[in-house]
Amino acid sequence: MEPLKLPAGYRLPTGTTMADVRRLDQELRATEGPLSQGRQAKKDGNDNPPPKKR
Amino acid sequence: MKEIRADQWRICARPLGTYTDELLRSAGRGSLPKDEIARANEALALWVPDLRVMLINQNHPAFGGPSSPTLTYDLSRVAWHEWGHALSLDRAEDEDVAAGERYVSLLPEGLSKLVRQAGYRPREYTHEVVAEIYAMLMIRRQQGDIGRPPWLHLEIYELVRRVAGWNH
Repeated sequence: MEPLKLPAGYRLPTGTTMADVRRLDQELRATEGPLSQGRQAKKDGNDNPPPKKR
Repeated sequence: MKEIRADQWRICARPLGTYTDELLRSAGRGSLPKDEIARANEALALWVPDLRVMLINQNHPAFGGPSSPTLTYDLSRVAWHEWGHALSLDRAEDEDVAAGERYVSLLPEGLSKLVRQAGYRPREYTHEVVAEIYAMLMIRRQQGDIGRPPWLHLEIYELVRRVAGWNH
């Protein structure tokens, strides 16, 4: 029998909650501006992201 | 997830280390070491490779209780994280695992703090980076946002893309 593989868990630092995780997610999204490229492309009806600026 | 036999999951309301140990013993796979049971009891969720099952403890205080208005989002966020583990444990190469410290250092500051302060072992760092970024990218993809967000380092994006099997 193969040796037991240890489970991989989702842990947070003591005192940290999912509210803190959500806040961090939102802060990162906020750095992208109101609409990121993918969402803007979808909104414009274009499946391809806009070309990169040179 | 079916491709890697990672489509089974259970939401329960009890410490996951003890529960996982019971499941493993009833499946004839033996028992977890006591320190691993204690460690897993602190987790919000677990991917159990030997049973190919993901477990979430919805009673974990970090979820904010059963009446939390964001519980559904939080459960899905954690579930994507664990499915990221399923992919990473199966597909990350030895050199990826060895580069864990570097990958953590390339994360945005808030995320790297979470990984470093949560008590993960350095050899778990790569799997945590993959799982956390995979969860964030999957939520973005569900909202129609495909591709690398500007705050994500290219090396990490390429790692997650390779492990997840994404073409773009």
